[in-house]
Amino acid sequence: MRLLRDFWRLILIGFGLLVLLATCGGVKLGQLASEVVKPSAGDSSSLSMSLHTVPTVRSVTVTPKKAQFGNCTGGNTNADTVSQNKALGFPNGTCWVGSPGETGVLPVTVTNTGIAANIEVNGADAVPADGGTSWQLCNTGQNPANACTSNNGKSPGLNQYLLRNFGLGRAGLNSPGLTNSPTCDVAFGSASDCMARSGLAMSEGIELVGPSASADISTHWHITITWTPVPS
Amino acid sequence: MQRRRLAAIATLPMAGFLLLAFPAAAAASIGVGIQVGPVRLAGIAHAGQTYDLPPVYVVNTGTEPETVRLDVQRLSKGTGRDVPKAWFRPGQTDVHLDAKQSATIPVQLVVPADAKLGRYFSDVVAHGSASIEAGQATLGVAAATKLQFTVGKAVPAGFWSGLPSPLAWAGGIIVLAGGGVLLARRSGFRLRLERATGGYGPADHEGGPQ
Repeated sequence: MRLLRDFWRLILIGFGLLVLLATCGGVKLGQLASEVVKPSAGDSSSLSMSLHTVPTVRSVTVTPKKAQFGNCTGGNTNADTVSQNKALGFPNGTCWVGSPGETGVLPVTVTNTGIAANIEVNGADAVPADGGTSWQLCNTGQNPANACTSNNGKSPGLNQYLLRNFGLGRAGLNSPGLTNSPTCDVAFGSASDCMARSGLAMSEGIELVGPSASADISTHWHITITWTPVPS
Repeated sequence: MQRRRLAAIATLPMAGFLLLAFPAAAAASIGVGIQVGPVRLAGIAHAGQTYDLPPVYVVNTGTEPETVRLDVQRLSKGTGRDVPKAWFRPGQTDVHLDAKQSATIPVQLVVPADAKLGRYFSDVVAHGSASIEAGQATLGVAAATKLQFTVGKAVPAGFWSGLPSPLAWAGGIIVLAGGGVLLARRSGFRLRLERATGGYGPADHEGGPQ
């Protein structure tokens, strides 16, 4: 009887130690169990099957990789700062990538290559080749993110510029302009709804309105426009 | 005459090459993709701790090689505090991807000691690079997926804090119970359980129901 009692004590102590070791050493009890209860080869049969799922990637593709600004107009003839074909003039010259209208040219194709998503677009400061003072993006309209300061808020002021992307039927040409943060791409719907199904492609062009004046004398500027598919 | 024939023969492969090469050049594109599934931390984060987040899948969907860089930005709609950029630490800052190539980038969440408690929400944004030339507009691509986690109250430091809490509790309870049983037995205390022989009520009598 005493022997049985001691045996029972040993079992209890052993079990307690095992649990303590398992918790301290990070050994999962489930692991132990799974190692012990392995089915033998003859216990079960398996059926191999493969399953395809729809793509689960959110992605966008832009063609072509680069675009050249051209068809520049505006500027001051008397001050010899009028725009030339591929050179922006001052004040407030305008250059285009493509051209708007029914017979216009839309050289940039943006394709939603992933699942349905909001296609958003943003610009960035224009950086001069000499690394000097940048031009900041500005916006027109009622609630501009960064208001243009010339011509009662309708044109960019000193060291400001306005960037708009446009789609078919002049869509987007009256928009407030791109900001540094992604906003709905008007070519994919409107400023509030730009949901694109998988595979949907839109052709776009870009309008750039330059500053009233530039503090930097550089004649080469770097402009970046980025498209981003965003979870809806 | 023979020279003309040779020139014509030499022109054919060149024309073929141009036909093949020109559409390829015209179709050059840049693209980037990211996993749809949100990047979530399993469990609650605590201030002053660093956590491994699930690795983030990115893919180059364009025809040009590019470098992909991960960043945090609030783009999509959701509730919670903005995730500060400094909290998000990718294992690789720049990942080079050839056309159609993909990769998974390990990422860590570094929660500072003064982090506020509550839910956090932002987006992990994969930026694809494009070669830059001054004087031309550069068109860029990026792709976003959600980033979600919660910062909760920190567990007080001590022996038990280093253990997985459910297992620690279970182990402690079993050890205490074992010790209790041993002590009870040593003290001479006996608990006897007996099952009384019972019937099934009146219907169990011989002869069946009356």
